[in-house]
Amino acid sequence: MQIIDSEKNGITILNVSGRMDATNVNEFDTACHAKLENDVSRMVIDLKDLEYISSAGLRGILSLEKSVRAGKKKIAYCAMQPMVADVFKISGFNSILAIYSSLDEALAALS
Amino acid sequence: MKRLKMPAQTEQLQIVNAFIESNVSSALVPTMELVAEELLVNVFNYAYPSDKEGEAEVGIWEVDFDGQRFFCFRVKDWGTPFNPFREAPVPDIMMSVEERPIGGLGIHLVRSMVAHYCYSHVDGANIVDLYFSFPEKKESR
Repeated sequence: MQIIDSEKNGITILNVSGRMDATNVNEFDTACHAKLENDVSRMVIDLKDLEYISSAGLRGILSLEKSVRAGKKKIAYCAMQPMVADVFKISGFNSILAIYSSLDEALAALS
Repeated sequence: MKRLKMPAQTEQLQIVNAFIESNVSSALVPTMELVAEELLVNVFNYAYPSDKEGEAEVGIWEVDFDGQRFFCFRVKDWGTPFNPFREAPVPDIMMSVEERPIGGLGIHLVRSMVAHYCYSHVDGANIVDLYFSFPEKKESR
């Protein structure tokens, strides 16, 4: 897994690529919580390059989502590949998270 | 049956993925890797006492079942008897973010991704067999 962060219009974008699984989800947790502690208030998790996610990855996403809501911040997810979209759907995540088909739509939603 | 035996350690997942990639058609790889990870992480974390080195084994073979062809994937361990399909709690996937417990989705994913799932405890081993429908002949996604 690789995580690249950038910023657009004051919104932090985390591009997560590769695989998010039991062996590396802690890297995702660390990267996200570092952002939240640095007073980032709006964040997009760009999933266009994420090929694989397991329930360990879902734990990371849910824990991030809980922290974001507890801190009254905003977050959106975008551009899921079919495997990741399937896992989100089966787990009911697509009805509880703000998910958009493209980065532009996600950015617009948080603006 | 193609088999791979390993020490019960999370770092072994990469070797399991390579084993899957070399033994099933590419359309099935992501789903089979997912169910393998979900079951093996449970085995690695809970099947054996923490002070004891345990082992796990995976296998892949083809089955003709009631006239239908399947790829089968097996996860075997020699730890505490545990039927994940009966003993793992069923998650409520409609729960809100605030109410939801973190975790507990792995076995739900396994059940949802396969055509058939089967648990047996034989000769001191936990055996989980998962049946995958042969992918149709079209572009893999």
